[in-house]
Amino acid sequence: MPTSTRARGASRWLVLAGLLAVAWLVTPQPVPLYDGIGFPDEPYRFVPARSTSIPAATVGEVELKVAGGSNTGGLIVNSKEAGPQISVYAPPHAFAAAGTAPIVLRAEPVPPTPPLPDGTLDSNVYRLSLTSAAGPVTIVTAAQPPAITMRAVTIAPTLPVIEYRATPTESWRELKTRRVGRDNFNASAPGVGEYVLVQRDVQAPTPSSSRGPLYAVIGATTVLMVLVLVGVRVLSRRAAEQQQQQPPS
Amino acid sequence: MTVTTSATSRCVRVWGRPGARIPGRQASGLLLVGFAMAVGVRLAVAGPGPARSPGGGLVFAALLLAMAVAARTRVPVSARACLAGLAGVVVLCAPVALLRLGSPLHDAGGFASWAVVVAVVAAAEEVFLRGTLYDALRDAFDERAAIVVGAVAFAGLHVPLYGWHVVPLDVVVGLVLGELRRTTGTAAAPAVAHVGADFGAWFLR
Repeated sequence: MPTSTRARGASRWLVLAGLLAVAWLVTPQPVPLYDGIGFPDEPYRFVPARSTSIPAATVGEVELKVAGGSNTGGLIVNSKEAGPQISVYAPPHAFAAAGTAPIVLRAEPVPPTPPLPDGTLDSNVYRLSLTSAAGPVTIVTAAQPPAITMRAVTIAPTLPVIEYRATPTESWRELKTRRVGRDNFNASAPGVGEYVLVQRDVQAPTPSSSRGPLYAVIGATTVLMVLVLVGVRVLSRRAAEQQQQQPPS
Repeated sequence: MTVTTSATSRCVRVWGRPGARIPGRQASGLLLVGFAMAVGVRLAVAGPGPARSPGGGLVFAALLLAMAVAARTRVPVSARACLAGLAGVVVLCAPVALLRLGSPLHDAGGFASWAVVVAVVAAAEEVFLRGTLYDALRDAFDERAAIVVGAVAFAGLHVPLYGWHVVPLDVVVGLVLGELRRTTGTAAAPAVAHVGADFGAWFLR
């Protein structure tokens, strides 16, 4: 191989290695995969721990900087499990506090205390708290509300809902819950207090008729896919025939 | 698809029939449409949380391999290509390994079953993107176009799975894998690099 070609190849690889290093630095963690099968979750952790082999659930905690009477930047705090059993999104300017002391946002798993919500618990009970050394923290109602995402213990055919109570003496109320992953559920968080995922015993399974459009899309795409395969095959065969007709050089 | 092995210059056909590569812009366009539809089918099959669905990933891999077979893609496997692929693993994993220097490696619990699916999906992506699509784009345009379009398609495929934030990294990774293909002349090298980097990501997370 000529020296110039080798030098060009080496410089190309150096440029790519540099680009790769920069891309890694600008890409937020955790480590993304290059293909499409995500890492499996570790088994669900409970509080209190239910076995000696699986440790107790972890706490998610973050300090939010304060300026001008509210938190300045938006942050997501996750508990430490893989994948996290609870995530809380704190939007910018969603929490008001005096002074400049940071606001501590904490999501802590706590043992469930009666009264329990109707149905079967499908997660730990998590207590969301907001504290500041400078005094009480309030939620700014005019700002984007914080959001909470919880991982369910089970992947059941019926979808759980997030229930909330501000204090242990209050009754639970259901929050508008949406599914954001196979076993992850999200809701706007009305404030500090306790959150838990609950499987409603009386909830009806998803009717098969609601899957009709999905099956139609899959069917139509499959037909188109077959057409693409036939097209590729025809083009390939035509190219092979043309190649055979060409006289050998 | 034809998988061949060659130790030196000798090429031993293992599977499939020899055929001409599909030429032209028509074929490139058709393959890109097929790729987009395969991504769509994967998302539809996987449902919520598509990145975590082995079923969705395997259906996607099957569709990519079907297109590779239809296009009679050849993937010569040689010791040189495998070694180049292993070097690619080092290049792809080095930045994150340096960033995590001193941190403990993730344990291997659950790795085996996950790794099987990942190997199938990653290898299928490479056979299609750096094999079938690369050949068609190179014949229609040139090798540079084949590398760049393959990298963009590679990044685009990951957006519905992980979000837009992975685009810069995945474009660069796609360029690295494309360059591996260009250097070695076979999709086997990027396939080894891709699968190896994904395996590395398990322990480096």
